[in-house]
Formats: sequence, C-alpha cells, structure tokens
Amino acid sequence: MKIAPVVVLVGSLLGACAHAPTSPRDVTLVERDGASRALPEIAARAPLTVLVFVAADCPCLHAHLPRLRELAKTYGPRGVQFVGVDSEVFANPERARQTERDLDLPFPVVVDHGARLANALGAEYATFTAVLDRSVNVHYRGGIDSDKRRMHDGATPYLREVLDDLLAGKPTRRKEGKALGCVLRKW
Amino acid sequence: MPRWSRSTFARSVAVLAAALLHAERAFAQACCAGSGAVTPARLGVHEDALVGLQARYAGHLGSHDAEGEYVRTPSHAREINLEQNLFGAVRVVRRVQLSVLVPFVQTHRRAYGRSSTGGGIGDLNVAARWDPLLAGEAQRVPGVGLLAGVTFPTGRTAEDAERPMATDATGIGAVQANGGIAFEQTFGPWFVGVSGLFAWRTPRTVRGARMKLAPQYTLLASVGYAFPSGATAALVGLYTVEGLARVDDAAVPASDRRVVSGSIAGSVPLTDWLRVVASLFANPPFASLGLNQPVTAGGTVGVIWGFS
Repeated sequence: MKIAPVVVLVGSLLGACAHAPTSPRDVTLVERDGASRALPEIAARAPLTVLVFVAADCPCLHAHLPRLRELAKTYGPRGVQFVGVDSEVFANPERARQTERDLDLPFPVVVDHGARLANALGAEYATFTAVLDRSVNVHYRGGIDSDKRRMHDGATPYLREVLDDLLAGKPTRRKEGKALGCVLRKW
Repeated sequence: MPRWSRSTFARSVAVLAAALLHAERAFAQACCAGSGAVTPARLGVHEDALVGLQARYAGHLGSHDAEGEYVRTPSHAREINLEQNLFGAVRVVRRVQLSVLVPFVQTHRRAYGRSSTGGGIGDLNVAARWDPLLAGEAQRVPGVGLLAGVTFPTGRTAEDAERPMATDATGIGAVQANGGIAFEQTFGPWFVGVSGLFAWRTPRTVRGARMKLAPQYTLLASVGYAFPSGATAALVGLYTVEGLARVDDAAVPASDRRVVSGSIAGSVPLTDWLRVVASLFANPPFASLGLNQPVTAGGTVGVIWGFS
C-alpha cells in the first residue's frame, strides 16, 4: 500500500515526459462556438496564421498584450490571422471566451484539449507563438519578442520580423525564438 | 565543533533567499521554492545562467546548550559573522542546472576585553539540480526537483586557525555530500515548497584523532507570494537534525545538534535580468528549539544577474 503514492508519482512524471508525437495537421481544436475543427481547416482561412498560447493569469502575457494587439491590428489587414490557444488543463469554450474578454483580445481563443497542439509544436510557456501557412507548415515557433516583462525599447521583435519576412516572400531570418512566459499547466 | 557546524548551516540559510525568490510568474507559477542548502544559486525558468553576490550579517544572541536550554551571550562577549557569497549557475540541458558558490567569511569575537577579527575563503560548494517536473506544470502533481551537491573543504578549519579565538576559521575541514528532493507547487499567486535534504560528511583526522560527523537531515518549508510587479515575498522555515559525532569510532556524548530557523525574504526585479534579494532571519531563542547551536539573528542582501 505504501508504494502506491510512489507509483502514482512516477507514473505521472513519466506521463508528463512521454508526449505522444502528433503532427499539428492532426490536431482538432474547439472554437468559441463549441464546434471542433481541424487545424488545417482553421489555417486555411488566411495566408498566414499566428497561434498564440495563452494563460489568462500570466503576467508576462499581460505585459505583452499591447504588443499583441498592435501586431494583430497591423498584420490582420495584410492576411495574417491571430488565434489564441488555451492548452491548459482547465480549458473549455466558456473559459476561452472569458479569456478573450478578460484580456481584451482582438482575436479568438480556441481550446486545445489534452494540449495536443501545444505538445506538437513544443509550446511549454504562455506567449509561445507559432506561425503557420495555409498548409500548416510551421515557419516560426517561439516567443513574441525578447522581452520578459519590462517591455524595453531594445527588445528584438521576433514575431514581427518573421511576419515581415514571410509577407515579403523572403525566408524567415529565424525559425525559433525563446518564449519567456509562464509554464502552461497542461495536465 | 559548533564553530564549523554553525558556519555551514548559516551559509545555507544565507543563500536560501536567493534560491527561493526567483518566482517569475506572479500568478499561477512560481518557479522556485527553497532548496538553497543544496542548490544555492538557482536559475529562473527562462534563465540560462546567472551570477550573484550576497552579503550576510549575523549577530550572536546566545546559544542552545547540549540540553536544549537557551543561554544568552554574556555581556562581556560578542560575536559577529559576515559573509560574502559569490555564486553562479548555468543550465546544461533544459531541466538541469549546475551551480557553484564561493563564500568569503569573516568573524569578529570579543570576550573579557579581548577581541579578534579574522576571515578568509570558506568551503566551496558545487551543486546540481534536475527538475523533471516544474511547479505549475501539472494541476495535481507538484513540481519535483532532485538535488545533489558537494562542499569541498577549501576553508580553514578551527584547528588550523592562527588568529586568537580562531576567528580565521572558515571551513569544516571535511567533504560534504548532499542529496535531496524538493516538491513545489503554485496556487494562483501563492507558491509553496517542501524540501528534504541529506548531508554526509567524510571523516577527517585532527591531531591524530579520527573525527566524523553524523549525517545531517534538513527539512525546509516555504510559502511565498508573487506580486504582479514580479516582486516576491516568502516565509521560510528550516529544521535540521544531526546525530552524535564520532571520534576514533566512539560516539561523542551530547554532540548531537538541532537547529530551527525562520526567515522572511523578498526579491525585487529591477530589470528583466537584474534582481535584488534580501532577507531577515533568526533562530528562535527558546528552549528546546535548538541543541548545541548558536542563536543568531541577522540579514542578507544581494544582487543577481540572470542571462538568457
């Protein structure tokens, strides 16, 4: 009997470490209307899609909100759709809608049950972003910029640079960037 | 024996605040709870390396004797301990970090009108930490950290001290191997942690006698709060027990130790990568809360640069 808690703990740890590999193309997300849609279906709506992994109570994400809103405003008219992704264990459509309201996001938040998309993309922290094209090719994964929360002027704008490159038809100057947000509570 | 025992323990408390207060997520995540006794310099979640300097002051109020009774320091006597801990840490792989701490120790003692001050480099500590699961990563399972460390006898032992009243003694004279496990979890802006630590010390020879300290067991508990600004505050409790020392394989009566310590600590980030840490600590001067241990009170202040 005494070994049971240890078994549970070890099993949980192994479970946390052993994410089954999944392609982003195979992931289904739940949108605000409660409908489940495959990621390729969502990505097909715009030439480029920016997935932003959110945690409503993450101060680092809060600090980045003005920049996110500005990016969505700047690049939305240029064919870039922004989609928030809630991969945390508590995620559900109602919470997603609440997150949209609480964070005053100018884009929808979808539910990633089981954190399958987060695991497929390697997202571990809020503010992690991924840039996809219509065919769900991943052109960038990582942070919004190099700021953690201070929002200094000298930060390197990873996401902006990648979007500029892609919209100009050039290879992206970076494929990955460090995400500096909060740990996503996936399970 | 109390001299070097106190030094090692005091250093653990001194670095605790720095290790504890790295909470990067004000809500729903705190990356750290105390485990400073083994991992004195701990990286934040997104840091790849850090360097830090921490100064510590401790004044002696009295001591707990071998019966656990508290005895105030006599009016003719005074002891002050100062330390400057230089430390650094580096992430070697994603969830594994290594750290090193180099202490510089000074002691001032006065008794019966005589006084002496001395110091030097203390015992160097290297440590490793593996976090298979981070606090906040799972809803029902706390973060888990596995700890290991070695303290090398780079300081001067009491028997090798040259200054009057051995004020230039800075080390324990034995290799100390540490191991431990830390559990940490977050609840909104609150974070809690419990760590269990084990220390084993090698025997050493002093004037022909073979001395060996008993294993030491430490329980460390902490609770903290992270503010939206990134500042953090925490309460830390520490309980250490140690059995009888042995000389030439014979147990030394009444040489066992018990230490209770409490501290309140805070951290304020000045920039993304620069933070100031400070703490106030004390051993409660009450009977039975200590055994063969000085009772001190003091504070620490330090600055830590993180790199990403």
